[in-house]
Amino acid sequence: MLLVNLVGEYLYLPNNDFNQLINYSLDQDSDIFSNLKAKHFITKNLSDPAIELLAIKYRTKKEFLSDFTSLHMFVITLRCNQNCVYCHASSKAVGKKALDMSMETALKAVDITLMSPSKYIKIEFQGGEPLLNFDTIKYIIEYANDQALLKNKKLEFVVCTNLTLATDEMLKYLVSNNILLSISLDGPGHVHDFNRHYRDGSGSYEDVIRALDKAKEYIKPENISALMTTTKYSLNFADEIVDEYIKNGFRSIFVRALNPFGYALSKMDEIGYSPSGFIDFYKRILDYIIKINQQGIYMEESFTSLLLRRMLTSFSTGFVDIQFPAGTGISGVIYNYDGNVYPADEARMLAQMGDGRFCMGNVHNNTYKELFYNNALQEIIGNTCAESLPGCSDCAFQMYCGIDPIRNYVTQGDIVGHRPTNDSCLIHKEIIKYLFEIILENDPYYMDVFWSWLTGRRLSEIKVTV
Amino acid sequence: MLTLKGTSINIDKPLLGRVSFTPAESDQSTTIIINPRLSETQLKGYAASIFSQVNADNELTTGKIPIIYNVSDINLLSAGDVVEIFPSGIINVIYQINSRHNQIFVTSKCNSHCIMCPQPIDRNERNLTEPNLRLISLMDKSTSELAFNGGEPTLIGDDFFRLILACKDLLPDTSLLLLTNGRKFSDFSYTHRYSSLLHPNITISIPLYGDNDIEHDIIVGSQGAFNETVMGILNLASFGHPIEIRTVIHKKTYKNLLRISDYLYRNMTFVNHVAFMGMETTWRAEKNLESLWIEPEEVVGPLDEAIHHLTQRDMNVSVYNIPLCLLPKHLWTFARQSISDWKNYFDPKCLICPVKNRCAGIFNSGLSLYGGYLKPVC
Repeated sequence: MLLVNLVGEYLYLPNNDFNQLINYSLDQDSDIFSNLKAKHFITKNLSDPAIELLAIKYRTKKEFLSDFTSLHMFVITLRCNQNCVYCHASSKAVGKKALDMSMETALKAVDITLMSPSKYIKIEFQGGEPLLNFDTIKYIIEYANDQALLKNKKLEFVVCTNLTLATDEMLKYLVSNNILLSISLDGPGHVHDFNRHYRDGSGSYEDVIRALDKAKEYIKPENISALMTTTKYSLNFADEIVDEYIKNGFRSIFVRALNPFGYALSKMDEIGYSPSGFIDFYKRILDYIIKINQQGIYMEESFTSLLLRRMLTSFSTGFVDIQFPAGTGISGVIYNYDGNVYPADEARMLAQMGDGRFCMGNVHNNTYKELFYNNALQEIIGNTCAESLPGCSDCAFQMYCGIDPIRNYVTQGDIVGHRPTNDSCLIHKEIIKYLFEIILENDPYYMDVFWSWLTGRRLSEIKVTV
Repeated sequence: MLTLKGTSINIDKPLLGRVSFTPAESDQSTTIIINPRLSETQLKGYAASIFSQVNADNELTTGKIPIIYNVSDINLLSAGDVVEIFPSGIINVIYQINSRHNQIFVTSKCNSHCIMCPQPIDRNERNLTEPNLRLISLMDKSTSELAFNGGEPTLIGDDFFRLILACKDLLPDTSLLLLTNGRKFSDFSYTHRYSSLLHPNITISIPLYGDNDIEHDIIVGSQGAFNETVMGILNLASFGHPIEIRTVIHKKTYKNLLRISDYLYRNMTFVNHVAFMGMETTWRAEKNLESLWIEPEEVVGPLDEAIHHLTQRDMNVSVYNIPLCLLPKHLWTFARQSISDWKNYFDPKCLICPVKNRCAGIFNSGLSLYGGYLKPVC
């Protein structure tokens, strides 16, 4: 029996001991009794600092909530030169400039962004392909930097791009402003090109690698990260995908499942897979990544380290897509090209498909208070607290998991969702269970690698045995 | 503590002074002079004089100035050392300018009663604060480290704060190590007062013997101690004080090392350093040896596990008081030369050991126990 307390500490108890515990017949002189006390599952009196320690750890764990919205995503344009197989944005042709974010909208959106109480604010440029509207990017960076000085905020900018349109001039500008790049790389040529191609159907892999090599002439490798999305085709190439990341000098990979939204939804027969198909893929790719690390190459799987940080440390880890309460609006927010504000990218796509119910307002018509303090957002957040969610309130993995209400709405018809038939729930539970099996086994082959990720150190610094 | 002995003349009460080999321009009344070339007239005004000669000058022995003569090992003294001399001819070297192990012995009083305590309580103890303040005033400003030791230093009330303030004032560049059970700091307002002293460089070293009160309280012989110590640590951390955790290894703790490590990481990630320590087998540790003794080789496994656990988590960990030949090679990097020089011992066998110069050795009190286990490493 695995016990987990409210700050994510765990203890494995044999069934017999567990039964004695809940029947109040556990021997108080036993090691198990002491263990349960040490991990704050039980206490004998109120002068015990257990309450104080739990309070400190709980505050720390939920610390990510105290800053309110820190991630602000800007849809710079809906236009894109690519038409990827899983695109939920149903990208628009390169010529349709009316689908760009205007300077006026950008200015209003920055003003709203900087009203966030968070001292640290991340502005993420998205699309479409944001480099198609580079002038607006520059305008936002400069205006936001000026305003941030006045308001004493620390800004970080990220451009999410396929990189194929990056010119030397753009790269020079980005590096001189210390901008981070987030590119998409789905694997080796045949995998990447299956998933990500131009509007004419031709693959983009060669152009991406060429552009990446050029970008590295300007931008420090640690300022470039990559995202991979898994399609049915990717499932057979776990090792090759990791090798491709190593080949290109990346130090982390985020193994992401498909989002069944928009355009991708209509193609699920071709690109989709069952939750168990993804879980199996995840386990294979994780095993390969561990092996690579044991060979002396630092490569982190970011989803795993997010979960491990929650399972093995006392630190706070907000993650907009997977947290309780959900990050929608209160941790991340997205400004569409037209100034409409949504609590998540998925809500924007839903609006694009005709259901605008999650729209928080528009930067031209609404104040900061109207956008962020309203019944609609309160209803969403109120329905994403694990403690009161059916299926989550009594789940042992609550402290490690999170919920995406918009995804629930899209896939299951309401923001609460139905856990027994929820794919995300299934995937998260299985992966957390798998990680627990590894943790409880405590084999240094895995654990040393995990800790090298959690502490950002090389494996050789962790191995005590020389 | 290093102790020398001689024959005293004209000394009727204990005297404290700073050793000098050359005539002092000022502060002669707090200087103990060692210089056989000076005449009686020249020696006047000094706190005392020390001579190595077996037969002191007639002129001096019949004179009025305080003297200890017939002191062998006088070469062990350095200019700047502080010594306390007694009518019996005993010379206690209470501060050595060239040592990294100087300490202020604050009090022998304690509110815990640890089963392995090496420090007897002196029931008739006089207040040590005034002599300690004088000692601090005689220490050299270049002293890099100074430990506050006991007993439990926080039991002497405001005198404890006076000692800290004296160090802050007179030894501004000296970092202090406060060895305390931390219990007093469970009182938030006390911790607040302590913090208000604003000494810039004190590490607070607190022992923990279990991850729960049941185990810890039995070892420290005081019910409620664990809870107070934990609250003390939390209060100290809330003021940002650097904290070190110490665990003495013996039969009742060696199996707890891993769980203590995990407890520290989950609850007190902020601690700067964790030290696992070999036991000094004097006083109560000696009396209780039967229930405390554990074969050195049995310690290695649990110690290794605990060190690995902390190292994985990027926590600083050291091993004190265990000689290298009792540790597997991969743990040597954590071993420190931690035993105060005046009670540090090496076996004759150790003389040929190639790593003696980086080894902790053993406590002189542990010779009969550990002597048989020591062996030069190849």
